[in-house]
Amino acid sequence: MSTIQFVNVSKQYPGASAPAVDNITLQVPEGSIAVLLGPSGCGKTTLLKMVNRLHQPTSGQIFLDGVDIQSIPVNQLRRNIGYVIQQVGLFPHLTIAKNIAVVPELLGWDRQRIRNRVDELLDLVHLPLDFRNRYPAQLSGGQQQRVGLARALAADPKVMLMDEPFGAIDAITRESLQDQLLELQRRLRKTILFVTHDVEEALKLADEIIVLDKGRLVQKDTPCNLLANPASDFVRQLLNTDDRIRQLSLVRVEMVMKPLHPAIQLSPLPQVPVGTDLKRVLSLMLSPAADTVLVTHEGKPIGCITFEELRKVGCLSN
Amino acid sequence: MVEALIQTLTQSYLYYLNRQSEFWGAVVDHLILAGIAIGIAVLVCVPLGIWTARSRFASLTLMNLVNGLRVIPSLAVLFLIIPYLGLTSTSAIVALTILAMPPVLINTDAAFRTLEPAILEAARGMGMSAFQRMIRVEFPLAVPVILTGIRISAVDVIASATLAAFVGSGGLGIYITRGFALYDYSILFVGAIPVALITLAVEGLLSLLQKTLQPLKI
Repeated sequence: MSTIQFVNVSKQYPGASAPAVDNITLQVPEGSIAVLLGPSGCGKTTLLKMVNRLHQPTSGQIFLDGVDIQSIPVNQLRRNIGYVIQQVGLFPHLTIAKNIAVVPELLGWDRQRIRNRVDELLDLVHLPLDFRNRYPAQLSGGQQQRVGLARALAADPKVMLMDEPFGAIDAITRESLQDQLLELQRRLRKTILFVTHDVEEALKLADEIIVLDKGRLVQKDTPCNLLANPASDFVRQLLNTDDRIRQLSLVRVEMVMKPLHPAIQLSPLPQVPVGTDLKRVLSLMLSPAADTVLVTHEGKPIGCITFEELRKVGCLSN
Repeated sequence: MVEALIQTLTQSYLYYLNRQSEFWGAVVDHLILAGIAIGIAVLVCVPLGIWTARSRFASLTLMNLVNGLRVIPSLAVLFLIIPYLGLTSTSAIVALTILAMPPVLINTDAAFRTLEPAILEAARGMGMSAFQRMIRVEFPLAVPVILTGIRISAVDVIASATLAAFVGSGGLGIYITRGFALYDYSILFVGAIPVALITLAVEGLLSLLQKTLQPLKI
């Protein structure tokens, strides 16, 4: 069990008129990605930084695996939590390998074990092994954040805190980093608390989205349910729930495709691989002579989608 | 004009040849005086600079004090100290140390003040203790800027260590005072030229050291 649990957590900054975090109780289940979403100043970053005790709650308790984090020595707690921040914060005077090795070194791993782990992590985040001896300034922003991710994963923590990790990265690279995070998550099953103000990012990554406003928890649900049943006008506006195109982008082809009919002529039809979202399918359908799109798996057609399926999508029916 | 200069320089060289052991003794004295002053300045001002970067109180008081001291010419400082410490090398070292301190303090303060907050937060968030952060992150990142301060100090101090001759503490200044007293440029050059060369050499060496320690930037 590696849950993060907040119980009646509040944070009042001295001199501020309203609390930054106001009596929040919630639980992030083991192995899931919970995204804290809200406008700036809603308290999402404060809430996140209370988990590794960079901020101290004014009242309330936070538990990791049922253990009150106040009872764990602070540096020991932090070494067991992966931490990724927007500005990356790599150490410019250390090589990439040394940057990744920081926490294992703090934990006293032997040299060979650290070496192997660094290679393993570079591979995991799709960076070439000869990056070991480069310095952060020699890498692009996207590559630096891959190193940031590798560094946070170095000691194989069960819990990861990610504070707008892709916020400062260009749109194309951001998307590929998001895809990669999801791919990593399928293999590693970390418990991830992720802060963003980017609604698209939240919808794409989250198992559950926690919407915050003025320090209060407004709604907590899966992306689909949140879009279907926004609890208030604030959530409706924040998520722009009337945007059906966006809802399509949350559903993947294999979830709605129908079996192939033997009579269908395959050759001229557009094809998409498994894992593609329906927004992409819709845009293919808008081109001439493509009212059916084929779904392929490893190059072989396994199903198809027509406009009918798009219309029937679960989120839309509500 | 050029001929006269060449003649003077030749005389300087002959003067040096006749007094080689005195000359090298003076070089060593000069370097020791400057070295002690810079050493004390570094030992005192690097910790003080770390303190001033963190404390508003320390910053207000110490920085103003040091900036105030900076405007008093070293020669004046030297003469002000003599009544208390006499005509000794201690007087010379105190005057030179006061000269050496401001650049080291100011640069150390700036180095620690301008560390990127994101880097410090990452270090904290990964579970480094305050001591580990200082040794592994903050100090290594501050060193190039501190070295710039030491370089500026070193240049000032090596040039000004000629003043030590006024209080009978030796160094290459003896040739300058002697040349001045005898109104003989060739003797003055025996002090002035080596001082200039040593200053350039130290400046070059410290620049080189600084470059090798600079975190890679592209």
